[in-house]
Amino acid sequence: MERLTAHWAILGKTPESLDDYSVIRCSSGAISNAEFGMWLKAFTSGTMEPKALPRVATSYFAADGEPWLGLSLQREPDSQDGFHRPYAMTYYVCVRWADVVAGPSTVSYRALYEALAEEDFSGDAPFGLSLAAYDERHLADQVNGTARRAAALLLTGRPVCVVRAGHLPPDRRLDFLDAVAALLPYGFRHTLAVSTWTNSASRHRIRLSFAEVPPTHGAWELPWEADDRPASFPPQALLYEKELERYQGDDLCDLVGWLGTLVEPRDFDDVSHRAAASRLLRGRASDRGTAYGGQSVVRPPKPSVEQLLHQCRESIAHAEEQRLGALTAQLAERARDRVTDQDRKTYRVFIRANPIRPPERLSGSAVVRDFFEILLRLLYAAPMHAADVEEMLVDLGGQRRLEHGLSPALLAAMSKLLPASAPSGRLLIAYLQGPEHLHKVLAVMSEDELCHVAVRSRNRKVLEIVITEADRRALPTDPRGMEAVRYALARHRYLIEAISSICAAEESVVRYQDVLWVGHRRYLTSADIKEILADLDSPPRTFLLAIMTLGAPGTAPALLHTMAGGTMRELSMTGTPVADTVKAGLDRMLARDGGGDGRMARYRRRAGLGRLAPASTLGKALAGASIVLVAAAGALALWLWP
Amino acid sequence: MADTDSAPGDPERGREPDIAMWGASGSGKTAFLAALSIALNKSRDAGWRLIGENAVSRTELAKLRNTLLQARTFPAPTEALTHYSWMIIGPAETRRRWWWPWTARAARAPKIKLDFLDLRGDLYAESESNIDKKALVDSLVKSRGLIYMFDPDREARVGDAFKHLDAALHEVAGRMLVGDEYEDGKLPHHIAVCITKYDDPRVLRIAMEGGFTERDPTDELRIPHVPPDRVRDFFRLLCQEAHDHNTEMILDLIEAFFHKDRIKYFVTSSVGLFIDEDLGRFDPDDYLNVIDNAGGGLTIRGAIRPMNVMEPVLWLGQMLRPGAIGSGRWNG
Ligand SMILES: Nc1nc2c(ncn2[C@@H]2O[C@H](COP(=O)(O)OP(=O)(O)O)[C@@H](O)[C@H]2O)c(=O)[nH]1
Ligand SMILES: [Mg+2]
Repeated sequence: MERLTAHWAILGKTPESLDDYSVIRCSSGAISNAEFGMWLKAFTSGTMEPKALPRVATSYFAADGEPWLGLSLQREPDSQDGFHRPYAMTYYVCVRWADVVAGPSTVSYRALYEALAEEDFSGDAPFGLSLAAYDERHLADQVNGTARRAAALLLTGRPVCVVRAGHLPPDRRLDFLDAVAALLPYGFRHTLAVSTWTNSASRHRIRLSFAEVPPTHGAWELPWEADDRPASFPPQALLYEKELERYQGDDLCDLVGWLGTLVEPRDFDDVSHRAAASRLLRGRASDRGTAYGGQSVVRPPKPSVEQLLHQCRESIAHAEEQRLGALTAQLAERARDRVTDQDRKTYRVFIRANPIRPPERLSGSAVVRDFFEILLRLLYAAPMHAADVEEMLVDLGGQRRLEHGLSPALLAAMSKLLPASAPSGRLLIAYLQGPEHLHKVLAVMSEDELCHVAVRSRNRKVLEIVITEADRRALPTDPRGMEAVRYALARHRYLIEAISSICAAEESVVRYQDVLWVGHRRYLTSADIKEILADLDSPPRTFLLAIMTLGAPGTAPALLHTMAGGTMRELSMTGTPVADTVKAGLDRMLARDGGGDGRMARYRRRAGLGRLAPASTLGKALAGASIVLVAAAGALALWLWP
Repeated sequence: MADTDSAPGDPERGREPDIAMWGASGSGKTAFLAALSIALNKSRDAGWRLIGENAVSRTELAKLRNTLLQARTFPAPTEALTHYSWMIIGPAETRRRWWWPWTARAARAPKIKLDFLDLRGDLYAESESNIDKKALVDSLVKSRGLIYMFDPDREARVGDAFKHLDAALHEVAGRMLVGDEYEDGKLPHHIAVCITKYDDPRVLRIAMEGGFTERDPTDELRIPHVPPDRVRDFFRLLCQEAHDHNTEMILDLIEAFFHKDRIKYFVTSSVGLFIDEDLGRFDPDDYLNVIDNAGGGLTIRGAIRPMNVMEPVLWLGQMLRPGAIGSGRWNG
């Protein structure tokens, strides 16, 4: 006997109602009335037909990222709605997938159905279902040629519709559906919707069902107990069917038992999962042939990583340190195996859906810390980068912001991973642990390394840390420190790659300003501008704007000349007649008495207005500068906004 | 085990329905579809037929027909989006060339393929994430014909037609009208607005007392009917009689969303009025065709004589498949 918590709902009508079917009662808690309604209706498979009742169907869904498995029973109508139409009530239970696979034995559809039938669907508390253990003997007894073929055809990814079986009582049909599922790795039940009857005119999502006629498109039509295999039978399905045919009697029973232990969630829509199923079966056959000398041996089932995680989560919640220790050891073993990126993603989804929050009294526990350490190894590839750390905050901390407090055990686990992390990951981990930790990590990094991390990681927080640190190091009182920072920034192109990929335009300008200021600590001189731009190919426009915000008085000509020079260099126009013309134009623009256009100046001169009234040198300088600035701004406008 | 009717790459694959049924729960959508084949058979120009285009649609058609004709009751409440691919075949017409009228060309039967989508009335009220609703809105966006069912009886009792239609229209308009494709801001569909259950005394009485009915001199059964040019006014009156004040706005709502020349109003009944065979004509004191039975359900009492069930469909058929129907014989 297995005990599982089940949530439940009734889809139906109230007598005399003028409305469509809706959830008229449901359990309170994990799943809302609206969600129940949505999932129940999403898996309806056509208007009820009295001859097809009772109808049993299964479905699956995810609520808050957590997968659930559901089973419904539609009973014969016994009342009428407001239009005098008889209506049928559907009784539905659903259980967490994680609970189904965590127990000592898995659960068959029949077991779930029988447990449902026991319940009275009153009150609003979830049920505690008592489920019969997985009965491989009973399941194996139900297997016939049609079941084998149905299982094989499901592995093509297309739905299977069994026809010419209208004479079978609903009970037999349910057993058949269960038997087909039992001929596939159990994990496929994760995305398997079956039904003892569907109407093919409805657009339903049932993958395996009985019907009067098959749907017009997409599904396999499988006549009940018909032997001949048509020509279009796909070879991969043929292989699986043949493989299954090799098992009879006790062997078949063992096979079903073994498949029942393969509980990692599998998706029929994933071609790799389907292919893996065929490989598994073949692999088992060859194992049996060699290692066990033809004798079938059921290997002790190895719990899946999700199962282990689920159990760890429970033992943390109940503060069972000893159990957690044992589970962590098993988990560590799994973490040593090859873990693919796809696996990691699955585990992370699982953890996100089942957050682990150690209670207060475990906050200093070394066992919990070890668990987190293994968990981090499972969830993220080594070495950890800044992006991983940020992912981790979402996966484990449930937040995007770094500043929020994390469990001390998790922090401790992270510090153990610190040495093996990438520099960017190290910075973020240290940052999370507090200022002293961060200083320690920063202290051993050269200016060059700092800039390198900022550019490589393209991570906002890392950038912020690096700029702050550069600012701290480039003290005006320490010329060597400043020199080192300036040099490193120049070598790493003023962090342009990082800033331009992280920040929007306005923020970029501010960031470049910071970078330029840290490196120079003064308004930029003409020499600075030339030096900065000399080594940069196509600096972004935001960078040029930042230079303008920091240019010292009188540096506009230098800026314009450098920009023009750089552009011509890039366009390979240096030395051409056009380059000369540009240079002449720039000289004219920047000439002290330049300003209005040439004709105007000539006119003024002719009219004797060319000579300026006496003025202070400063005034003249200012006037000249402003004219130059206007001209420069005009030229810039042309250059920046082509 | 052939992959049923068609291979991948078949242009028919995943074809979206042309005509979607709209209307609240119980407004008579499914009953209307069930009556369609009977209506075609009984039409005055005999020779119309409705056939299923594939095994699924054939089976469903037979089930619907049998519900009315054999079980003599109404279909069960619809649970899921249901898709029927049907074909309407008209009487073969012998056609003469205007320039050579002495010999007739081989007879050709008009054929219209029509796919219908029957649904739960409350689907629009459901949340965005509902998969069925998404499928529904997707196919509505692709469909070009709508049969909108207005049930005066339901309106008098609950009065939620406005809410339903408003939600549905906004859903579809939200998807179709935001772009530039329909510059005039109207939906491209043709819509047949059907007042249902005309045989119900609560509807027929309003029509007769309001002076909307006439007798067709050629009809020996002397059934009172609402002439086509008065249907819109009758509809307006029914909307005013409704339980909910908003219902009054339905007509404006429809006319705001659709081109005036793509709206047509019909007064329909899926089962028709009871006619005492001995009397042989309409009896104002005995025309109830739907009666309670011992089991608490409903039974259809006499012959099924659908009224204006074929007409909206053929009108839509002609609008959606111009040229499929040669002459205008049926709509005269
Ligand atoms: N008197 C009468 N009742 C009808 C007619 N059509 C439908 N009904 C009634 O309305 C109910 C609902 O019809 P149905 O077609 O199932 O509505 P749907 O929910 O819109 O599909 C039926 O069960 C009948 O009781 C009709 O033409 N005349
Ligand atoms: Mg219906």
